Amino acid sequence: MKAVTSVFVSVLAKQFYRLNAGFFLLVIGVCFGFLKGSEHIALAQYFVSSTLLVLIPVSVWLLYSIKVIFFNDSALKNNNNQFLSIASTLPGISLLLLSVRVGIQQLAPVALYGAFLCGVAIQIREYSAVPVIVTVFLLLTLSTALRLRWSLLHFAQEKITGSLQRGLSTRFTRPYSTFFPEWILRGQPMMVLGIKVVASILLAGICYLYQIDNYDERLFDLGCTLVFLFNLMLVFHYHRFENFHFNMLRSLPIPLMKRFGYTLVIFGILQIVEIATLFNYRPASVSLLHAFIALIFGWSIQVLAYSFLFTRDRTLESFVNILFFMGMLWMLLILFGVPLLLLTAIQLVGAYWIYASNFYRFEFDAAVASEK
Amino acid sequence: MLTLQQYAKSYNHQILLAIEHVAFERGVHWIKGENGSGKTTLFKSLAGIVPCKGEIFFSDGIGLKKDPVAYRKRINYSEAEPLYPGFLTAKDIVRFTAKIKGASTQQQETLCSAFGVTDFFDKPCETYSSGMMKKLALSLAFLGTPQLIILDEPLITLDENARHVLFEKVKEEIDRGTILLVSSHQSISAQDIPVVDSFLIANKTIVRQ
Repeated sequence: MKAVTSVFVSVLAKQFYRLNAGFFLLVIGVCFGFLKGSEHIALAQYFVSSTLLVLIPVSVWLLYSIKVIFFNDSALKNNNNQFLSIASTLPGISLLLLSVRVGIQQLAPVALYGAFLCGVAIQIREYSAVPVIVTVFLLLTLSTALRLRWSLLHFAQEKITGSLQRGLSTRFTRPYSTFFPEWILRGQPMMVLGIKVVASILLAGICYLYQIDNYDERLFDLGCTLVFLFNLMLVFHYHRFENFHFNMLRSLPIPLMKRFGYTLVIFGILQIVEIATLFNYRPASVSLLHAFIALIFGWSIQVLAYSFLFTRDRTLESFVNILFFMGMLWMLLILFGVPLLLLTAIQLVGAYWIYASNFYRFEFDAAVASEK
Repeated sequence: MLTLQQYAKSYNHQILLAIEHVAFERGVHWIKGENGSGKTTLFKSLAGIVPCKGEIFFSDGIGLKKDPVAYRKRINYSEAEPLYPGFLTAKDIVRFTAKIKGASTQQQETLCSAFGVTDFFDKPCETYSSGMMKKLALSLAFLGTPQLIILDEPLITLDENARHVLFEKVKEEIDRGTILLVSSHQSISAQDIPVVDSFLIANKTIVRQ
């Protein structure tokens, strides 16, 4: 049983953390970058001060558990993991225990923060929050484990196409520019949702600041830069999709400029939510033209990062590390008032040059292959 | 004629395949080799999916590195174990590839109907068996007017009817003057596919048998 558990932990728990390293880095960066230790404790005290407020972290944990469930489902659908179906022959209780062990490991961040909240609650004698936190953690662990158990027992389930999907498929042909957006939405809906929600809230929040004080356009530009930096996770996956999951594209006779054009269109589709937020909440002091330039600047950040991925096969961690420093550089340049239009032009030209020089030379490195 | 000159492919600084010079005339060339000998790697290099060192070019000078788009226009490749994003239908993939390859709707329909892809044309790939996936890949391999068709293990998972269709299509391509590189661990009879010559990939190179 130990050997089986170790395989499951490797394939599901460790792989979950490895593939979401960027997400965790972002969370750690946001939490420990902006808040001091005393502010963390103050926030925790606020959360545990009433049962209703505990629901704030609980709702985040719920989203996180859904992300774990989606990951497990998609990992079990992966052909490489078909061998895990053998676990369905285990006795019922062993299978449940196995699923619980995997679930506990995947929900470790929830357990850690939950323990921290419980400690704070006991310290300030807000005991009512403790049973809520413990019960929620147990329920989330159990539901994650039960879903995993169910998926293992229904490995060979037949895929049924709904009548609406059948009708749409008969009438229409998908244009290429929608392949990736649909692929990522189906494969990692929680990641897409998370990025879009955080980016929109951030953008709307920055726009709101203009109503309460006077700022120049640089704050707006910084906001746009941050928002487009969040979206670079999608850029990373797009590169993987185009060159690995749908690699027949590499053997098709598409001129480089056209390939680049497809990329621009796809990034445009991926930014619809941000574009809508940006123009909807645009402060009066930021001209329409400037908002448009900021948008194109954000786009050029993505295209540059995308081209950069062709220089050599990179893991998500190394990509995020480089982007962190690039992000700092962009922010400094904006703060020093370097014109966005100039930065955009340099980035777009540079991106195409890097892309054209490396596209045909690019190859996935076997050592990094596990990251796909 | 397709020529490979000073071809080399390495992974992690280890040479996997090195070919000084080899030329493929029109007709079917059977590429043999043990599992892991480098057949698929060679095919993927020829198809432009993975990069390689050296020169690969047609007799009129159009080459993989010098004219990447024109070269790719002449090549069709069917993978041994094709995989496509699960939500895409055969229609999405065929129409997209045909548009880029400049294949007519009539040719798409003829090929899909011959290989039996029409039966699941509007269904997403995630519902396909490996045989259905193979039929789709083979339909794509004959789209357009390629000068080189690479068929990596075309016979695995294929039913009897589709095998006959494949043999007929290969014969049509031979008549058209196409170069076909076929790898197969199963024996190919001269009656099914008239093979011009066969090559063996072994000891990190390729030799004519």
